[in-house]
Amino acid sequence: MRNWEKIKFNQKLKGIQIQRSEIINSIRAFFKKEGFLEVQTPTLVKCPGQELYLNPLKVSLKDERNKQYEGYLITSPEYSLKKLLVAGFNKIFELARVFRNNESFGGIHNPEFTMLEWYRANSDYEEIMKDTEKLVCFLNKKINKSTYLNYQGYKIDLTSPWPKISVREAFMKYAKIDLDKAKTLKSFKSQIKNKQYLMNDWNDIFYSVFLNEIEPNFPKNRPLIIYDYPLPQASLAKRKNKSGFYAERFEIYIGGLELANAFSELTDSKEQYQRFKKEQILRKKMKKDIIPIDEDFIYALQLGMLPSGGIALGVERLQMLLLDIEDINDLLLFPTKQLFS
Amino acid sequence: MISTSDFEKGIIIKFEGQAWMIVGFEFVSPGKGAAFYRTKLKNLTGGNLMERTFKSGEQFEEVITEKMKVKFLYTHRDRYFFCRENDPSSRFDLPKEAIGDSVAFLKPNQLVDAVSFEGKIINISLPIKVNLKVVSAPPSFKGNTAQGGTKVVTLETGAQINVPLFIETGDVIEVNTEKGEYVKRVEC
Repeated sequence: MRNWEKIKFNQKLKGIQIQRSEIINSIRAFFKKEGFLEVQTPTLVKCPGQELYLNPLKVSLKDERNKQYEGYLITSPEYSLKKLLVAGFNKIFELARVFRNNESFGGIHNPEFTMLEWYRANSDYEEIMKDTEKLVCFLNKKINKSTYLNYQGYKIDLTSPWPKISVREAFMKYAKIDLDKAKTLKSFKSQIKNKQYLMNDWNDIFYSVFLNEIEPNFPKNRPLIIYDYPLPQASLAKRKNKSGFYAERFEIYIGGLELANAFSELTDSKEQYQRFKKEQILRKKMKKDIIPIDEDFIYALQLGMLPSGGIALGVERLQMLLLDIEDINDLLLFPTKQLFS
Repeated sequence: MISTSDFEKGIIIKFEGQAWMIVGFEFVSPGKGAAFYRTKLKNLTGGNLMERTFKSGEQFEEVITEKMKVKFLYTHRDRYFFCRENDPSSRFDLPKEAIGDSVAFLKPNQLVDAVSFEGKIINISLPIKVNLKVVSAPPSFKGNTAQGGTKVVTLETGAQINVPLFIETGDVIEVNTEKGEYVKRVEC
């Protein structure tokens, strides 16, 4: 049975959809209360995010004279929202539909999903951390009437402040690897004992160790903020200091789920342009689509963006946490898997 | 060779010199790194479980296993007894955990697929869809059915399952054994 039909026969499943809608209403109420402006930016663009490991969905479109254009569906509304920061909107949020190709139809991924992004000018990632704690606690109080969250058998205490660990500390504590001495592929490899992780790409080793040795050891009874990622792991984030190896990026984990990713935004147009150029070369090497650089975004940075903090949070994952659902295919009304099977 | 894109529950791979069966897997894409598969693996020799996360595209040596049909006989104290299809004297048993939640839909004399490794049966798998008879269904009250609603019925295997209100005692229904869900009523 497809999900819509199951709902016809099951009041509980119907209730889940009503609660999902309440969560969306409460997200809007929260940001309105905090003085944010809701904006809508395009899903169909010429220049999508060009992060190395994301695959934007390519589309072709035609105008009324049959002239053909190539475009993409966004993987995140980030570039548009940052242009709006430059335009002078200082506190903005969007509930955007985003698309990612080459990801699984179900589990914790669906090719089409909802991204909540918010940005604050005159701010940085620490203030975004506080926003996130406040938002999740606010929603849990509305939906579950509690400061605790029950997810897949774990009782998670959401009380502020949430525990934090830097990426460097986490690698040291759980994998006995000193990232300060792992700035090159060679020096990283020399610290790896398990042959399974010895790959020829810095990021591949980083994630093999992270997913096998570190993430499974995170405490499950509290949310966790992991912050300050090494530079190869932070394409649009500001460096901690000018020549430093770490950038101001954090991720939030709750109940083993990666919920959100945030930065102190990189505002230096030259450095941003260089990072994009580098990514284009690497994309070519990886035989991926070469994505045109959004020159309009670079121009916006040249005009000057105030120091800002921003975040992207997966709304369906937040709903899964709040409603104790393990598989996104049990949450969505029309999961991609059912549409294409 | 077996690649991560071939991963499925029940597939057997060689890893660090030993044979492991994939009992669960999940695709993980961290966004800032390559895609990975988080797997739950069961050691075919010792039976111990472990979790491992592999980079998408990694390859593994295949493990030689044998497939056969076996017949379910009976259950006793959470152990499930089977025999080979054409050889009733060749019996073996598996604990409930080795089979999973689908044990609830096993009925005596049912034929299922089995996999053996080095002469030992290590796993059986039920067909995804089986037809089972409803042996006890509470009466449905008239009216209000347009609004949906479900009730719990008991099947011939003893399993209890949620079904729409129109299902009655004596009906045969199709059940998805993986999800433990009602699929449809089978016309007799």
